[in-house]
Amino acid sequence: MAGERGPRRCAWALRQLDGFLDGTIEPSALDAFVVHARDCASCAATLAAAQRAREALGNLPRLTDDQLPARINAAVVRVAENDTRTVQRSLARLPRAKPSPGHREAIRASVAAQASARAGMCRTFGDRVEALLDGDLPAGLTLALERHALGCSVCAHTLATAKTGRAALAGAPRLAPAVASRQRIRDAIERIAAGRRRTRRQVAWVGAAVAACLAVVAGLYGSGQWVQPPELIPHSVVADVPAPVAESQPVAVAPAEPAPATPPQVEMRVAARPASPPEPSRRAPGPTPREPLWTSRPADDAPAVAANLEGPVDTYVAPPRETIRVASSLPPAADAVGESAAFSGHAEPTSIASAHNVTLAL
Amino acid sequence: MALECLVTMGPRSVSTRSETHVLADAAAHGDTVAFDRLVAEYHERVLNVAYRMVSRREDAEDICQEVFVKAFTALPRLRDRSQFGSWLLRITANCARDALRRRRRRKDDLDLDEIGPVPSDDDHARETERDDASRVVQRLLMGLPERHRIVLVLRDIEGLSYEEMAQALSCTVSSVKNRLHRARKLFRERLDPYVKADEV
Repeated sequence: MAGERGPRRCAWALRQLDGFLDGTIEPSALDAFVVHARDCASCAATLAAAQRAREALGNLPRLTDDQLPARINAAVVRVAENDTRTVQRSLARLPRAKPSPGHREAIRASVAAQASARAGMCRTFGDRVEALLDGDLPAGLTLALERHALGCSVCAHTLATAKTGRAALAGAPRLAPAVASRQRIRDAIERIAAGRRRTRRQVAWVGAAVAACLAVVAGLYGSGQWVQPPELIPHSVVADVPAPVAESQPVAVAPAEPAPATPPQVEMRVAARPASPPEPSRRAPGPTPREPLWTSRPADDAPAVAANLEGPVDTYVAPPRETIRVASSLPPAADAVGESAAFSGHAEPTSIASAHNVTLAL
Repeated sequence: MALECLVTMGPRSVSTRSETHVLADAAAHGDTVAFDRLVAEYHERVLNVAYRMVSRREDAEDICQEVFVKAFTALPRLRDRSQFGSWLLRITANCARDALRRRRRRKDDLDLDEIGPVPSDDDHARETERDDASRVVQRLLMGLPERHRIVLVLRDIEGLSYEEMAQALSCTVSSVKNRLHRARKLFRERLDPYVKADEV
C-alpha cells in the first residue's frame, strides 16, 4: 500500500494528515504516508497548506490573563441576553390564557383579607394581652392568641413587655416603716384617746350638773313655790287686750274724722268671751296689786281700735292666756249680737275698720 | 438594666377579716392597744401605697400618720368593720390625692429625676440593678395620671382583689377593671422602650 496511487490512497492520506501534523500517526502508517506525499503532488500540496495554516494559527497574538475573564463574561452575558430575548420571544409567541374578569379582584381581596385578619388579630392581642396573662380568657381564644404570638414578632414583643411590666411592678422594692414613724403614730393616737376620755368626763360632769339643776327646778315647781316673775309676761301687742271681767262694755272711741255738730260718739262693743269667773291659776293665785301691765297707746298711734281704751283696761291685770282680739279675730256669728263690734253714730267706716273686717252698723 | 431582677413577691398577706373585725371593733371603742395592732398590721401597706403615689418618703410618712389619725377618729362611724383594710386604703388614696394637690398648689411638683432608690438588703451589684429598675418603675408610675396610678399600685403592687379595689376606690368592679386595663396599657406603652433596650 506504500507505493499505491489513486483516489483511495489520497483519501487514506488525508485521513492521516492531522495525525501526521500532531505527531500522533501510527509508526506503521508513517512511512507509507511519507512515501505517498512525496509521490502524489496533490497530497503534497495539501500537506504544505495544512502546515502553513497550523503555523499561522500558532503565530496568532495571545490574550493576557486579565483580559480573558472579562471577555468571557461579556460573551456569556451576550449569550445569556440573547437566550433570554429568545426565550421571551418564544414565550410571547405562545398562546396566552386570558384571566377571568374577577380574578384579579379576587386575588386582591384575598390578600387584603389576610392582612386584615393578621392586623385584627394583632389588635385583639394588644387588647387582650393583660387578660391573657391573668388567665381570664376562654381556652380557645387563649390558644389562638398564643399561636399568633409565636408567629408575630410585634405581638411577641407586646407579650414580653406586659410580662416584664407585671414582674417589675410586683417585685418593686418596698419601704419598711421606720420605728420613729410608728412611735409618732402611736403618740398621736394616744393624744386623741386622752382627749376623748377628757371630753367624756367633761360631758359626764356637765350632764350631772344639768340633771341636778333640773331636779331642783322640778322640786320647786312641785312644791308650789314657783312664781313666775312679772317680767316674763309678754308685753302688749296692739290688738291684744285683756279679757274684761264684765260681758261687754261700751267703749268710747275718738272719731276718726271731724264730727258735725254733736260730738261724735262711736260706740264700740268689744267682743269678749262670756263672763266667767276667773280661772284659778296655779302660777298666779289671783290679781295682785301691781303696776298696770297694759297701757293705752296715744290716739294718733292707733286711731281706730286700740287707742283710747278706757276704764278697767288700764287697771286690769289679766293672766296672759286670757286675751281677746278686737272683732277682727272673732267669728261674725249672727246670733251673737253682743259679740260683734258695732259702731253707732255718723262716722263713716274707716280704713282700719275695713282692714280688720269689722262689721259696721251705721 | 435588668427589669427581670424585680422578682414577684406575691400579694402581701394581712390578718384575716374576722381578726381585723374584732380589733377594729375594740379600737372603735377606744382601745388603743387594739388600734396599735391594726397599725402594725397595715402600716407597711399604707406607707408603700402612699410612697407609690407621692414618691417621697417624708411625704409618705406624713400621709401615713394622717391616715391612721383619721382612721382612729372616724372608726366609730365605720359600719362594716370587717372592711377596715379597704377603708384604710380609701383614706390613704384620698390623703395622697390631697398631698399631691397641695404640692401642685405650692408649685412644688416632683422632678422625676429626684426619685431615689428604695434601699434593700441585697448585695451591692444586685442592689444597683434593682435600684435602676425600681427607679424606672417609679418614674413610669409617676408619669401616669393619678386615677390610673392608684389602680396599678393596688392591683399589681399590693395584690388586692378586684372587689377590695372597688371598695377602696368607691366604685364598681367593672369600673375598676376598665381603669386597670387602661392603666396597664399606658404603663406598657411607656415601658416599651426600656424593654427594647433590655432586649427581652
